[in-house]
Amino acid sequence: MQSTAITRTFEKGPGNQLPKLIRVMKLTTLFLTFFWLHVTARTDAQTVTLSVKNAPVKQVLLQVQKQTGFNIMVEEQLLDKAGKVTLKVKDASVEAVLRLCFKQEQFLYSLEDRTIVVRKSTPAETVEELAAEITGKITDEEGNPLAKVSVYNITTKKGVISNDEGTFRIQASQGDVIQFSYVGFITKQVKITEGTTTLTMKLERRASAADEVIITGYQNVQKSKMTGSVSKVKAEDLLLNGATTIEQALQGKMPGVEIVNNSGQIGTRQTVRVRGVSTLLGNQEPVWVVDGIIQEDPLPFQAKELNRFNQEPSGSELLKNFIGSAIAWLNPYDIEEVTVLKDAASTAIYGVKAANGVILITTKRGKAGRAPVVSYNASISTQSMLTYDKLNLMNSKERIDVSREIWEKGLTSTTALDNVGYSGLLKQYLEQKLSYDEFNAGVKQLEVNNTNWFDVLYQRPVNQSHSLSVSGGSGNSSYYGSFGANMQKGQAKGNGQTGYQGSVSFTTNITSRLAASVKIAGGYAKTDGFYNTDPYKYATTTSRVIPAYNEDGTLSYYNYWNSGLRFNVLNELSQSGNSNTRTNLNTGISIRYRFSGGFMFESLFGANYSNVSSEAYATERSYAMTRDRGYEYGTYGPNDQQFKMSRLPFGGILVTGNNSNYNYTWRNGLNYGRTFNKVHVVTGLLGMELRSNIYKATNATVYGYMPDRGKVVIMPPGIIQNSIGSPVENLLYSADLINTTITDRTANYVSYYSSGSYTYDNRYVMSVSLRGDASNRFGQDTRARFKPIWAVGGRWNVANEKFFRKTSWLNDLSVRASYGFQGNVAENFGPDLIIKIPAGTNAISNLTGEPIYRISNMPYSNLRWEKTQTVNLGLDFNFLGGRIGASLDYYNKRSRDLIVMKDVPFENGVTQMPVNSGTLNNSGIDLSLNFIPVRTKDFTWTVGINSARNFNKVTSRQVQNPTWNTAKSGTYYVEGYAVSSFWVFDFAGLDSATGIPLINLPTTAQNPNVKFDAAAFMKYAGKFNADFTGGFNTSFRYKTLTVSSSMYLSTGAHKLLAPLYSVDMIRSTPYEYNNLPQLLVNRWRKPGDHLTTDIPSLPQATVGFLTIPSGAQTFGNQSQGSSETPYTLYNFSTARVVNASFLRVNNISVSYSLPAKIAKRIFSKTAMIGYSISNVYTFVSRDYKGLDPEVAAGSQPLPRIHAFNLAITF
Amino acid sequence: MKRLIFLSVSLAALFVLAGCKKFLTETSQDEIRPSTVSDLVALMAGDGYPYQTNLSPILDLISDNVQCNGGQGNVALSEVVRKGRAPFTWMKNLYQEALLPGGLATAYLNSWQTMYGKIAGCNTVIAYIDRVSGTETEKNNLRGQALTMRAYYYFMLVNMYGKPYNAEGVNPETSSGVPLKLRMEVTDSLYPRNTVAEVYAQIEADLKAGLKYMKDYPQNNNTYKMNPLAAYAMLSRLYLYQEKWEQAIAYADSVIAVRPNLTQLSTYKGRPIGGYYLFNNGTTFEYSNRIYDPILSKEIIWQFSAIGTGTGSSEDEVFRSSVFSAAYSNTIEPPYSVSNSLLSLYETRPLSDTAVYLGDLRLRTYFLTSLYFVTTSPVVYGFKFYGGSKGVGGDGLRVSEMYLNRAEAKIQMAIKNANVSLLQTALNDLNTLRSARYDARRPYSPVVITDAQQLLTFCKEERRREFPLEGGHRWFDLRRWGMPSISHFYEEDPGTGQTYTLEKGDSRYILPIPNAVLERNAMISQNP
Repeated sequence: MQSTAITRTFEKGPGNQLPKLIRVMKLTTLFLTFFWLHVTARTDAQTVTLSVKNAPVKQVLLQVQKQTGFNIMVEEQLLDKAGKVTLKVKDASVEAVLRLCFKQEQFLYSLEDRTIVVRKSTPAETVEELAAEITGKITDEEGNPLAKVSVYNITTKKGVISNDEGTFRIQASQGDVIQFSYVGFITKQVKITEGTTTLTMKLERRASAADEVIITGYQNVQKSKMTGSVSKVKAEDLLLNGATTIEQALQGKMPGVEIVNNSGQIGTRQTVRVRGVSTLLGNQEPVWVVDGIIQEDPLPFQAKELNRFNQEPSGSELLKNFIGSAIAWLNPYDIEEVTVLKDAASTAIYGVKAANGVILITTKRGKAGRAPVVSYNASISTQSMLTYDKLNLMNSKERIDVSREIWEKGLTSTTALDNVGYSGLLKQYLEQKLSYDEFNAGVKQLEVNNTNWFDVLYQRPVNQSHSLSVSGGSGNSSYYGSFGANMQKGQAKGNGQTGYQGSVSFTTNITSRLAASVKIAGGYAKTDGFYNTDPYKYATTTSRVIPAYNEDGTLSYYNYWNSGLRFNVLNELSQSGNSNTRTNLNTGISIRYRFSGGFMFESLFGANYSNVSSEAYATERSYAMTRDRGYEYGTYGPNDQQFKMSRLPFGGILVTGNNSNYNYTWRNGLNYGRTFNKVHVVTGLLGMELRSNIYKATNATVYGYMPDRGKVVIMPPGIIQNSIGSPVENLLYSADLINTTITDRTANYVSYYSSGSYTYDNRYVMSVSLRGDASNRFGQDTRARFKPIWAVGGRWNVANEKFFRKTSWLNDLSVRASYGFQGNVAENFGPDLIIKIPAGTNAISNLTGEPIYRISNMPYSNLRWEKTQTVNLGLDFNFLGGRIGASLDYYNKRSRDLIVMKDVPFENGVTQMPVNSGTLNNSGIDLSLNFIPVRTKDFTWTVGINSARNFNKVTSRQVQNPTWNTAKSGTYYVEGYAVSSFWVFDFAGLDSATGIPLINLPTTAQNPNVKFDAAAFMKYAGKFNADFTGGFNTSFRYKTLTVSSSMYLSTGAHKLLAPLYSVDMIRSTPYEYNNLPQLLVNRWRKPGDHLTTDIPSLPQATVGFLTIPSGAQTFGNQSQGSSETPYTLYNFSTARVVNASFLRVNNISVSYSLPAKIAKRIFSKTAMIGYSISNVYTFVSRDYKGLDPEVAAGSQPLPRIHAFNLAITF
Repeated sequence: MKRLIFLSVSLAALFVLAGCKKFLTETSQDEIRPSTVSDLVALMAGDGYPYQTNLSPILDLISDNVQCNGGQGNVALSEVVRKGRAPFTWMKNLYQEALLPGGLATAYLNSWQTMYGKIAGCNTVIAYIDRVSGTETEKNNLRGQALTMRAYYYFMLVNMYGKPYNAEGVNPETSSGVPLKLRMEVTDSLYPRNTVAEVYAQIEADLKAGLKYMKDYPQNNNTYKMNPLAAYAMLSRLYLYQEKWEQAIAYADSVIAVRPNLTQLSTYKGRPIGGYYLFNNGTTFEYSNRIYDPILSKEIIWQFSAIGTGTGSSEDEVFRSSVFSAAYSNTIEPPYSVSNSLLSLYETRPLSDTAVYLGDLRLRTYFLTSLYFVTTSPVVYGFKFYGGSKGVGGDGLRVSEMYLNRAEAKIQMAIKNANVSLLQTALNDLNTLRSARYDARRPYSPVVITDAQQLLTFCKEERRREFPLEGGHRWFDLRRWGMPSISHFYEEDPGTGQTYTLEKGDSRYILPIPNAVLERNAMISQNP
């Protein structure tokens, strides 16, 4: 390994062909100009044609650079000293030009790869001193070796470059000063002391972000030229422990991005919102982009499903939850960085759909000229077990106490006594099947049953994930490949996911002008879940009085909900199943051709395919199928009446689904970039994009499935008998329960896009971008196709002004402003009549057999675009060498002409029509702050804070359904209130005589508005969306030990607690089968209790209904019901509203890099071990009364995750 | 090189632009823009015709053909009784009351919304018929159907929510009818009520135009489609309501000339149980013999309601709920059933009579019947009639109405002009109808009435017997026959019953307009 190639001095001489070592980006002192923003192509066979007379050498070099695209590395002052030259060459080699140029000068020059390095020659070169050789190693702060660092002995004026391992060898004697410099890092000088033979240097990254490159997916823009609002987070700043999703890892890392965990269940999607909500009816999700390709969801989601805030998805959507989001296929360890584009100036190039922000993920690539690096990451994690502690449910004794109160007080129920628990025994006693003593003994036993359903159904899962990657490159090419595997088990027994992902990417420069890169990624994931039975729901709602096992250890069955059929949850789980398999293949190829004059053509083609196949079943031995069959398995045969009446005499149910998505993107763009007179930089981009997204799905339900008997399906009989022996149609057929649905959708988009910028002297920047889209969506207003949306922006890099140049403490100061106009077309309305083929059996008239069409949309010719204007003002600064950096953004988004549905007279035949009337205002501040309070060789402390404050307000009256249900769900839009505002009933204490909750409900006489406005009879309770979110990240590093933590704060939101009285008990007494919240232990029991408790008495059937003033308006379809029991109103009253502000310690992690010696011993370059703990603790408002905040709102608590990580590079 | 690249870029762009049109061709799995006449035919079937739609779920309940039998001390029954309370007791705000929990929350309660929705379907077909491809015959025939159908809806609406055209002391030129919305475009402007005369004039114009289109461009459609005979029949009814007797007779003649057929109810297959025949016994569909059965019945001009497979399909909430085990019991009555005053109008044999002759078969075919055991050993059955009429009978237009229209118009003309020969032909029409309704196992003995007034009364009774629970006939007839006083006894819990009376000429003979309608359209004034 230690070859002579380690050190190279700069030598003069035309024939010196240095190996291609120097990376393009590596400029030690000053870069004159970077020609192309992209990584440029390279070759040695460049020719130059020049004719200058008495021109400064600098100018000649610039010409050379312009013609060849070579980078030049030189100290500027040095060139100023250089004399003038006269040259006339045609198709001369760069070598020759340089030779001519520096003929007279005391310069050393060398050509490395495509970089011209110019240095002053010194006499030292010829005077060989007997200097000691010093060897050393250079690393970055994390200990990664830094290759190609310029190591320069200032005293001797000799320099070398470190090799791939970061080591170097240089001649130096005592007292010499050696300077280490590397692009993007702070230059360091070291004085050689006596006896020094080795040096270990740790270079610190320069915090100045001015030369950082922002990847927008369409362009790579230097941060100093970026006029829009973006924030960026590097993969190393994200805690990836194999147990959390990418979205979860991003929580609190980027200002203006709100990520809400809805549930602790594995695979549950997080809600992601960028800068609040800007549309009422449309999709509110941001656009996800991976390596320039827009990502599509593996299954077509309904916008309304995704928009529901903090709510569990409905039944069929639950399945999709396990399949994951548009980026679920990505191996988190492949991520290089994540960028979010927030304002109009940065998102305009993505068009209309980017109104909710764009989140870009860039994956790792190999680096040209690097020796292969193999890295291995492993993580093993475990989660806390679910227990009753956090759930606040009654134990057996408390539950029996409720049943006893019902009986002793004689509360009225709508049904007869239940067959389990206290009332089960009571029933037997009343029927004189039990003696009084037996009854009492039985109740005593029930009180101590305390079945722990969580022990029965849950486990402490151990998850592991592994990722192996290889990257590297030779002179012209680079590669990156990775393979990841993860095995996750859910907390519920039987829930889990196994997945594998692989990816390969390859980039090469075919010629100096032509570069190509190819990427292929594939993945497979299998998720096992449940069908019909939700363990969490079962464990949290089932009374602990009911035993799971008999004394002899066999399963204990009970009469399920008085159906007369036996049930045990473990039997149910073992007799049913649900598995989803997702496979995906993502490919991409891009070609760049750079031609002279500053133009570059780029073509990118990406194609993705994903398939989700799912299978869910229940066997004939499950309760669910027994219910369909009508009798216990095996009790009747073909000759029995029950068998003849059974609609499902054999087998169970099988639900299969096959959903595939194929999408491709093809983009062609022409880039332009050129510098005029050193100070005028002009860039431009013009391109066109085609996108196509195809969903195909077949979903089918059949009955008669027998998985244990060769997976045969015996179709149920079409005609069965009724109770008096007459033939009747089998409901499975007549009610469409056996069905097949096919989905076939193609969405095509054609877009053009363009952007341009002008920069003067790196001080003033102006930019403009524009985009127009057209799609094949049905029923659109084709006049609106290709209508442009646009944005303009400006930036002033204040720090580059002359008067600041001298200050050393100010590294960066810039102000930004942008204005954008976005129009949104009315998605579902156009000037044409659209008719729809109804689904299923409705497609054909069963009267006449003829096809049926229904009006889907009446023609609306006068609809205008929805218009959103966004103003963004930004300030970035960075001083004290990057010790303090901040970025502050203010934005104001005004949406006008939002399309809202207006109620129209019934005489029109439709109840509502779309009109342009809504206006909505979103404004806010995003702030990110970075401090490095301590930065020494051994100890570094960094602090990152980011926060966002968002205000949104509906600024026009919306015409809407004014029911209390809408008002309490946060979808009632009232002028002057935020979008997610909600209203609840005004709880006025308990009735002293009955303990029934009292509700203040104004009558029509008191306030005539109550008829039309739910807000008039309910109380404003706050809003569901937080208005302030903040992330706090800190890390301490001592030598190679790092401790870091991140916290997340969210304030200003309110929540409604999960209903205290479930739907099935509000009009009756609690069912014996159900467990109840522990809060009900403190319920009102006798007159006078209203002074000590605000928990109402037990409900019963005779409680009178309260009339709700409005709600009868929903005429014709279903009525919302304008009277409800006081217990329903209590569930949605002021008594159940809590302040949802919280501060969560998201994670704490410790990592330790093994000393190089030990690392070497295990044949690795670096080795790091780490431990992290997620969801450490959450501080919540006192309103929760000690309940876990997720549980209180009705979902599964977030588990605490402990993870051990190992990262090794070879 | 540069030129080459430029060329290839331009070529690529050209290719893209050329493919663009196809690439951007709108596609949808289940949506279309109507382009052919068959698209509009399917649209008319979905949104123009009232297939399986209940246009007027309360019209029977408010007539004198239904009675309430009370909750009889049974919670479940009194719940059903409560459902029908608001319309049955003619409450002023019956729609609002019916919507309250436990009320008549049927999807079709707001007839105003239902029918204007269908009118929009007709208007859309009329507006688009000239923009689609198809033969002139197909297009004009469909246009005729849409016009006729629209007239039918306006006829229903104006008779539900407007004063009777012929009411005493009411000028149809000034009394409020319903708004005429004849264009497809949806607007947020408010539509005022047109006068009753204007609505009638529009109905007349639509029927005549529709008739002309369907006659000039004939097509062989099934009975679920509007046809020239249906237009004639509607015109006959329209003129009868306007007391334009000659035209009523003339258009009835036009129908009878083409289709004199009446369904012989005795050809229906009964189910022999306990020695007598049951026609519409709830449990099996084999013995369902509906007057709107397109195979069995010969007198259908046009029909729209379903022949459901179950009992009382697509029927209103109260009657459906009446299919309660109660009806199978000897001791419990259905909460709502066919009124005794109506049942007593039919000539029939005692139920226990095992003789084969059943008399007026309408009693057993026009209502749903149910069996119950009187004793189990030896088996003795009894049976009851209860609602669910339309599920048994269906709805639409039948030839029998033409005989009744003609008879009534002739009697009225006879009274007006003292023309006795007209009385005889009217009587002949009634006997022709009745002979098709009677059990044929004994010869039919014709009715003989010579007094004009008596004959008019008999004719009205015959009309009540023929259309007991169909198409709103009884309610509309009561309105045009001077809005007589009728009363309903309503009882939820035993002993708490109360009699509600509709006085002669009561304002409640004009239905209140649903509040929801008024809230969306301030130009509409509520009926007094």
